[in-house]
Amino acid sequence: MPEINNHEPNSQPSSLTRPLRKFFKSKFTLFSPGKPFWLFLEMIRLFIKNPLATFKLLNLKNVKLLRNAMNEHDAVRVLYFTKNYVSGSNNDSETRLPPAPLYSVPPITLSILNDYDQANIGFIRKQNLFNESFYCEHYPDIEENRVDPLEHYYIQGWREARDPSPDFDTDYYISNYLGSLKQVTICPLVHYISEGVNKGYLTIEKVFTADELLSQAIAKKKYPEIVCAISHDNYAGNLGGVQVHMQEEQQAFGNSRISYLHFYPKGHQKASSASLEFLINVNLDGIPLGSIRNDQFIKLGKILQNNDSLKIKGILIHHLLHWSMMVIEKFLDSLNPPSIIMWLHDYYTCCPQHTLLRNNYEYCFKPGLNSNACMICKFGALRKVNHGLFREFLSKYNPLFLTPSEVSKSIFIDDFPEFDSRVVVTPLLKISEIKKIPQKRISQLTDQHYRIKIAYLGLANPHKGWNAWQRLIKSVDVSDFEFFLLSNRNLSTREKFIPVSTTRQNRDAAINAMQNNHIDIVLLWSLWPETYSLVLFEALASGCFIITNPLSGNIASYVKDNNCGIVFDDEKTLLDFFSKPDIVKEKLLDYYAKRATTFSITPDITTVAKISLESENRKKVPTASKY
Amino acid sequence: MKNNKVHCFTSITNSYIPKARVLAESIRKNNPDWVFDVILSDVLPANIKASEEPFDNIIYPHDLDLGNWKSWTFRHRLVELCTAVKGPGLKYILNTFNPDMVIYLDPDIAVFNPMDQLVELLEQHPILLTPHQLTPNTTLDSIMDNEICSMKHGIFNLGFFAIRANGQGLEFADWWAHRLYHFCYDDKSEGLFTDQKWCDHAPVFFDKLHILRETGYNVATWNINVRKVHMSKNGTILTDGEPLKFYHFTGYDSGDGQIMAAKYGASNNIIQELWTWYEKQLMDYGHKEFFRYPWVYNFFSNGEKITDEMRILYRKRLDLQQYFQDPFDLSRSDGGYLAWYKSNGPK
Repeated sequence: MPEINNHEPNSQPSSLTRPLRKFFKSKFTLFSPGKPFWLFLEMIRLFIKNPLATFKLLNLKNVKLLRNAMNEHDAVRVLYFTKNYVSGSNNDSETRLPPAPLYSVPPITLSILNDYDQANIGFIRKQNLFNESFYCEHYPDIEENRVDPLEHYYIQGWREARDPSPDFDTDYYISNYLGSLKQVTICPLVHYISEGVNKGYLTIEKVFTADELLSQAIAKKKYPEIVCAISHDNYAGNLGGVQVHMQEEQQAFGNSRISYLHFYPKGHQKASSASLEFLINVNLDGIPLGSIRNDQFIKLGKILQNNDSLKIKGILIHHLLHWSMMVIEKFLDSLNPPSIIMWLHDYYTCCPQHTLLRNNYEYCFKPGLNSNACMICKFGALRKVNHGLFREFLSKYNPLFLTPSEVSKSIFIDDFPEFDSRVVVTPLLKISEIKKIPQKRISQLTDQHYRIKIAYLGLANPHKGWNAWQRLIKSVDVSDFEFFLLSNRNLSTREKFIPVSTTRQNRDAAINAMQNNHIDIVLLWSLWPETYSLVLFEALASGCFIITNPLSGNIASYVKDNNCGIVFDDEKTLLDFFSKPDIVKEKLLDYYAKRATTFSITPDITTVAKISLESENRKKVPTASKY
Repeated sequence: MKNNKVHCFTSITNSYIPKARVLAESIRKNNPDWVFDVILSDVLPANIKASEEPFDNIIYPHDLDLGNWKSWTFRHRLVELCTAVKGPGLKYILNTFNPDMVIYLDPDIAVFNPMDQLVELLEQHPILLTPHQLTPNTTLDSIMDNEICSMKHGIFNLGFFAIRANGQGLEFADWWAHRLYHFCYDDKSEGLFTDQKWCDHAPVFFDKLHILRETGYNVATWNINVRKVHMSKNGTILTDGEPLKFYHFTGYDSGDGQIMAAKYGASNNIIQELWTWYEKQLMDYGHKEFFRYPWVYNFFSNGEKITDEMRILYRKRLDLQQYFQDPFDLSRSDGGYLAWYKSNGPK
């Protein structure tokens, strides 16, 4: 893995004077090898934008001379006309170039390198993170077009998944740490320098043997005790509910001086797979260690069991999606952990369609394996296969099950009644600082001109009720209601979009957005029986009134039990309700006056205590089925 | 465990083998005691082993009581032949296997729930037929698509019929087999539409015939606009509150079926899910491989294609039928029927 050396960085301008200097010193260097019409248009556009700017026209064909011209200025804007038009500026919002498909590799390298870019490039060059000869050898078009290889990679090459050196796999780095190529807006090398190296990110896939991985873990572990967590993806790099929960859990174990050794499959394998060559990725305390093959993973179980340097507290199974059950079983057999806790975050143990939507369309009520519903569902055949595998697995290891609500417990028990006594309902959040709704908010409602604020919160997915939301906002009178979309993607049509991304570092993002925008009602029209629903609690914490339907699982159950909203039978009754704004207002007033509160929510991680307790219980009552 | 009480049969050529497999498996799942027979108006491909197919018996045209079966076969186009053999095929099954009851299902049908009710009904009624429509349509569009269509193609859909092997059941079998032997053609100008239009007479000729009004049978694009198809909580597909017995995926190959399903079943996701399921089933059972199989009776012995005009002329001319006993065979010294047609047929 490439190392970072601490050379003195290039000097940076003062951040205080920078904006002023940018404005007054804006100079536009226009380079046009023969497209006068476009050049003229661009000049007009820039002049309108910044009348104080000066223009310098160049007709250079040599890139080095162009770069020298750019170096004369603090704030330089260069327009570079080639076969494909490219524009760049110092303005942060404009330095992001459109995605690679809009550009073919131009005959001459791309344009603006502002001072930050130049500093980055200089730093990369000094760290020897970029191998020029490797790059030119692998991508002959670079030399053909006489472009600077590092500059090319910095601006364009990484977007095409080109590798800067044999030790840095751009595609591997992006897919493991940055999402996907379409989502990334920063050069991966820059990300690695600024963040990745500190977090121990791998720049290239490293496949270890069991012994090698154990050595890595021993060398990098923070604490003498360790818990093994198993899930379906890299919780450290994703934003879903399960992933954020695992991040909190890792933190909680760390606070108790227990390291968190995490395994997740690289790619997808079937539960019935017997392949020993499939790869599993390994993290330790959120930092990637490398990868290991299935057969070595099984061997690792034995080595860990016999190793004194890493004391295993137990196994936490968060999800078995993409795992081979044979591999998990052999690992557990060889590891022989003191306890096994299995989270039921969704219904994957009951059906590979973990939200129980038949053909991804409609809640199926989990019918019999030989029913018409399972027959016509594309997940039906796999459900039959997996059901047998899971029943065998769960019977053999008899884990302690944790699930966040009574609803999810009852659905699981319906398929696996033999585990009724082993399922513990474990809510994911703690509620505190309960306060009444401010009187001001209640008074607002009495104003005859007040438009009731209704929000859709979360991902715009059909099974979360997105289609019902769209039908609702099209049908009601906008003079009575104001609509909001609180999400990470702007798919709004008639509603106001408020960008919201709830992360571990910004847990209250959604709550703050709802409170700042005085949202009255949140539509939570999930079409599947939610096991918990973090958005439910975020909406309630903001004092909102909840509207849902009977299929929404814990949402409907909580709303009924706590009288904090309405459960409508179907969309028809939902639309009927909103056709009478006076009735809606009346319901809201009643709710605000009598029951609505705001409160704080914090993660409630109890797994640390539970894993020790479970291990104590197993010692006291050894079971015949203990692996 | 199969018994001989009920024989269920279908009629296909090689290209419909995947469909017959889907049908056979669905019957095996729901009524495992029924015997399933196939009338194959083709030559089974060399790479297919009859013993490995989910069919209890494969019956060929040469097994049937058709007299000069080659001459008879030549007179029929593909759909005409596959429907014409149903009558003689019914008689063959009755005479050879002596079942108590015989049920016919088109190959593009799939069974979803047990059909024990059919056996109970046959114990009371010797003949069961399902009409295309049970209730009047209400829009001009649907009247034209459905009711007028039925008037052209037959009031009853002969993708299903069932008889008890006695009394009027046998009389119906004799009568129908005779008519199909002589007049199973697609000639709407003459009032003929294969086997189906003949059964417009059946309720008049056979007073014990029972029109099957239970809406779970023969659900198809011509009646889904008036039948409520939905899924119960226990996962059973229901039609008007009762379990769906079989769905008829008519028009799959031409695409018309999906078009009409989208038109009349657009608001019903179950219909869409059924079609998606059916397509997957066909692909799993080899539809891509079999769909393009040429029909053996579409060619002369030298491989040259037989045109509709050649068939129709041969059908109409008794002298040609007498002279060219095997019109497929061109090994005769005079070149056979093809040579004659080229010299003497209409230009």
